[in-house]
Amino acid sequence: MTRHGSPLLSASGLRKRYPGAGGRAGHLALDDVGLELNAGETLGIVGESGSGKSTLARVLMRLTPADGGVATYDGIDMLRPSATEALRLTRAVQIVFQDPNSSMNPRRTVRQALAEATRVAATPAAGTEDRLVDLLDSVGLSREKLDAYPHQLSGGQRQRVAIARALAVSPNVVIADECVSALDVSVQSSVLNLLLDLQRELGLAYIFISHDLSVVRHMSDRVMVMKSGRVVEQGTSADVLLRPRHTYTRELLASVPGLGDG
Amino acid sequence: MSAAVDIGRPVRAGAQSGVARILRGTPRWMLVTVALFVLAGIAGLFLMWSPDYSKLVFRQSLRNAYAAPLTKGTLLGADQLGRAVEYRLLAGLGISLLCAAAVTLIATTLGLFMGLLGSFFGRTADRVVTTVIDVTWAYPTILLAVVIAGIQGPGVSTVIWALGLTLWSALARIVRAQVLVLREQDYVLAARALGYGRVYISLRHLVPNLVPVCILMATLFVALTIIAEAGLSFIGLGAQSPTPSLGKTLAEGFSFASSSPWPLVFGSLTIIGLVTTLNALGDHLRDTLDPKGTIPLPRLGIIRPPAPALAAPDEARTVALAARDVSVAISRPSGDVPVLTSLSLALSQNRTLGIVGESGSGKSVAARALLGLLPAGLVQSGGSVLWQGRDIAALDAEALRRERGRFIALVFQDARASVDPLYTVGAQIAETLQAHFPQDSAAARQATLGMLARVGLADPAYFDRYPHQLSGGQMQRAALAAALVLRPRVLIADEPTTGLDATTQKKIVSLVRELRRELGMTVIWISHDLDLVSEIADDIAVMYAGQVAETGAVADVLRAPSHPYTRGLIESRPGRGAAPKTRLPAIAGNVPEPADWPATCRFLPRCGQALAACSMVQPALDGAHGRQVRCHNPVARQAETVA
Amino acid sequence: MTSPKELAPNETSGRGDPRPALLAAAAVVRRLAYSLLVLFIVAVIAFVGLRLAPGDVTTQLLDPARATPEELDALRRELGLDQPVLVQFWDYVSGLLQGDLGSSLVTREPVSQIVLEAGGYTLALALAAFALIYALAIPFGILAATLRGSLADRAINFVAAVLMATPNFVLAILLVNVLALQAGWLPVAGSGTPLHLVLPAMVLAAEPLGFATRLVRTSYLEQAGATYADSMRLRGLRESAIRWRHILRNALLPVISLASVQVRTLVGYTLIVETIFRWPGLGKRLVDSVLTRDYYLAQGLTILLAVVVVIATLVSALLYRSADPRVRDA
Repeated sequence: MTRHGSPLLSASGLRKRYPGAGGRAGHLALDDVGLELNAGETLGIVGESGSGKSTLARVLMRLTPADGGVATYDGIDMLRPSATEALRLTRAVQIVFQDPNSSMNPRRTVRQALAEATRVAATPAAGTEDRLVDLLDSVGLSREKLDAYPHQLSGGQRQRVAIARALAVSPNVVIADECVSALDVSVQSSVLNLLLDLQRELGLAYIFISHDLSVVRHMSDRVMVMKSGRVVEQGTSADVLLRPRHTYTRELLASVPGLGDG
Repeated sequence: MSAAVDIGRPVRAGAQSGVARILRGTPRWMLVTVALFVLAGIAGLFLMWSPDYSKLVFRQSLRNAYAAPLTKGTLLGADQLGRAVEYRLLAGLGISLLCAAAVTLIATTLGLFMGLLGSFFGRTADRVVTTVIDVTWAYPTILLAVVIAGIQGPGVSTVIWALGLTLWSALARIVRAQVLVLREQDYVLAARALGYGRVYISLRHLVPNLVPVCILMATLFVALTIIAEAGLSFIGLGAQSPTPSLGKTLAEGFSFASSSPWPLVFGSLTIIGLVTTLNALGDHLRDTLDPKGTIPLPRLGIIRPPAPALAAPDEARTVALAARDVSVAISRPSGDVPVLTSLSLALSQNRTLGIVGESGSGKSVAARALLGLLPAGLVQSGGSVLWQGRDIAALDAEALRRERGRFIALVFQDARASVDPLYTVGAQIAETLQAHFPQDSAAARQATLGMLARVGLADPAYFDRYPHQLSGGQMQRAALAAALVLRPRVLIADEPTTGLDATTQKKIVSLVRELRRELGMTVIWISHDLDLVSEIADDIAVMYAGQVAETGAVADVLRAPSHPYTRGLIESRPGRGAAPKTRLPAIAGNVPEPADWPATCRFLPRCGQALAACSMVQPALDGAHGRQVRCHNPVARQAETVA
Repeated sequence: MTSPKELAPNETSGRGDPRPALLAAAAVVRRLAYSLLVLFIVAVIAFVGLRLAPGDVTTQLLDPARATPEELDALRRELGLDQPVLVQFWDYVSGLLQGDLGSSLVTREPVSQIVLEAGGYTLALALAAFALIYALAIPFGILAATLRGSLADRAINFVAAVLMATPNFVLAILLVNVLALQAGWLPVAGSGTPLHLVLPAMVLAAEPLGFATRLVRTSYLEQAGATYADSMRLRGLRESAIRWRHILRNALLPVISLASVQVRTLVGYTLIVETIFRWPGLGKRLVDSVLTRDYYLAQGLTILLAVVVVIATLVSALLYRSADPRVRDA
């Protein structure tokens, strides 16, 4: 349904202010933020703490309301959709979170977590056992893991289940919000490989959020740098990271050890 | 807040537990005692309600009044109306337990409902619920019982209503606090992202995770009800004759104690026994559910008896810090679990050593072992640590205290947790100074201000700041100041920049470099970040699963790693030459937990170049001084055989 | 190098900025207003609750068997009980705002006078119990924590557990037997001398004492294992300094919150203890007033007790604020 050449997901002018306590003015988390995402590409969003990148993810997923601005996916209003539109959005745009320790309900098995997700999918084969096994397979986990509880899995395995859960509705866009940041280095790379494989196989578009510049550079086609709720710089990966224009981007690049070479 | 040390993956047993698991861990005597009481209560109710046996409970016989135990056909004596105490107690127990069950049901349901309503369904609901809780709270339970007794007369139902309507607020408060945390958990957010509504999430995700706290409060409610019912019966508002209850038996026993103490004695024993068991059960549940509950005894120094090791005299001059074959284990009743095995290091003066490892590598434990102060629960099981050539096990407590801080200092990963939140940072730095060099407070203040300025907190206002008022980067600087104000010879920095922004991280790293030069220190920098360590360290030690895998000069190790793990770590980092959006070489498998360490090579399951020897004997740390590797088939030798 | 201007996240822009003080004052005012709202609701509930009970005070004053309905009605008119409920409520509240608590319908004494006479006794009892609780709980709790695992620790835990499990009248009989009847050190019941206060205070304090001791112990242990304690040891601070200056202060914070909870418990239990020892406090008067439908007395005492609890909560919150700097900035 997407017209060739126009972005799959676009947003502009997004604003969000968290209310302050006791009459104080709250914290401005998003200040006139906009972005564009094309089908099958990865947009990396990099920023430090307080940059607003996680707030952006939540606003796009309607987990927290925006104060202003627009965001559309395939023509649908992402911020205030109608009931049927909301369902379409849920099936089209999904999210994977950061913390492997809380990504799954400790009282429910992998099977229950995935079934909860497949129930929302559009296709009739959604809830069957085969579908669940396929999902696990696609993230590199074996069938016995279906009956495992979260505490029986390692951090990396839990993140894989979180990815499988996001894939259960067959989305076109996946927002990865710092989803490898809490993992050990040796596990990070295998999860990143998984994300790349899935993108190739399923034609997913990613919004890849991280504070880690090297990871973002590795995963993204285009990069957006955020600071204190504003977009500081945007462009292709090569442009932003090799020929940075904004002083903050340069400062960020300079402070990452080992990024100077290669 | 406890001195957490990274010892691997989150606990298997304990933290995540279902109801069955909780029960399995409970001491048998508690479960048996509670079960006995419940059975006795059920028996009592049966006696009371069956037409054939109820006369045992109700029939009065003034002839037998005040009978002593084991007389007139009774076991425990008779009360003022000649009824056998044992039957009155059984029936009374049944009524009291029934009453407690009813109260617990009401209070738990209401508490859960209101707690959820307040914390998960919007701010207006929250305000209403909070106000209701506060109104309920303003009025003591017993007085509410009086009012209800006034309305509908005294009796067991009065007790149930009064207690049910006041106890729920305690649970509601706790539920509300927990849900505020739970609702930010990723699995709740994921369910919301899938479009599930608040009611579904409450029922399917929140309530199941609130069950443990509800069970805990339930034991508390039962105990409280039993005691409160006794009190209310005493002032005449509880069970009315002829209905028995524990409280009624006790109250009657009290009134007629001068004629016969036995009803009071046996009634008291029953109630005290039951409530004590319930409270003990509640304690046990609290310990199981909250990992902080079981706090091991804090230890103050080296545990094992000193076996002083001697260092060669010239070594003492060049080697600031050394570890010889140090092993550390978690002390458990079921047996010690090793977390660090055979650590041997020698740190040359004025060099910076970087220790690199992932979670479960034992790097933080190694730091603590080098300081001679292990976190609670850990025990040194072997080896010795030498400070400037002297074995610290030979030092007495006072000598050790003096050396700590002056010779060697530690900067913690969580800087904010390493200071007392109730005192200003300036006061605490000055206190550190005063503990070693007593001086008047003005001088200490001056020295502190100087040190704060040296770490980049030049504004004197920082002296009077509390820890929570500083940002992450500022707190880390303050912690550095606290560590360095005594000018130690050795500084150990345990992941001091993890969690900080990259820009702040860079500033802290250059600060430490400057200070090292200026003060002539030896530094150990512990991190999981290979790139960071390569920037700051001269030498590097790579740790894996409680052992040192490889050591050497940083440039050497990174250019030509010998251990397959080191090579895997280096190659799996994005940004190291690998083209964007291509697969990275990754190390297969997971870091093993301490309990699963094999007696052979610990890296074996993940190694791509294993030999037969690897599965037979554990490799030892091998190599020339300064460049060592623990591997049967290190990479360099591989290249030789190929060439 | 960080420039001195880099400010902490929740810092204001300059020294001497009046905003923080104003905000704190506003918070206090808000809290007070909220407490008044809570008290108002309590008053309404007390008012309504009492009138839900069947019957009224007229049956106490005139013998229902012999009085005619006209006489009962006349009495009601005289007492103002025939007015519509809302009018009665309005009269009562406006009276309250002027400081008039009304009079007992049974004895015609002003409620304020009853409060002054009997209130003093209840207050003395409660304060004595409160002092006893914390004078014992804190030292014993710390002792148990520092000697953790030893016989002393287990003994203290055991005694605390038993204190928590014993109904107060059972304990009363035990203490009276041992200390009054057998040893003769203390009087059995009644009032009149300070010695009369000892037994009732001990009985009242028992259960909260058990609870508080255990809380102090747990809290102390928790702090003893905290990261900052180890950090201080590593900086070479003396163990005694760490214990007394740091661990203790942090450990006592939850005790401040507990204290306000226990005021509420104590207020409730004075009822029973006053009955056991014939202590002429407010407790018995309250029970009687409810059962005889002596509205003004019952309402007045109810509101008074609620005020005590609310004040205790406020004081505890203020104390906590001054003790813990983190709360001040929240």
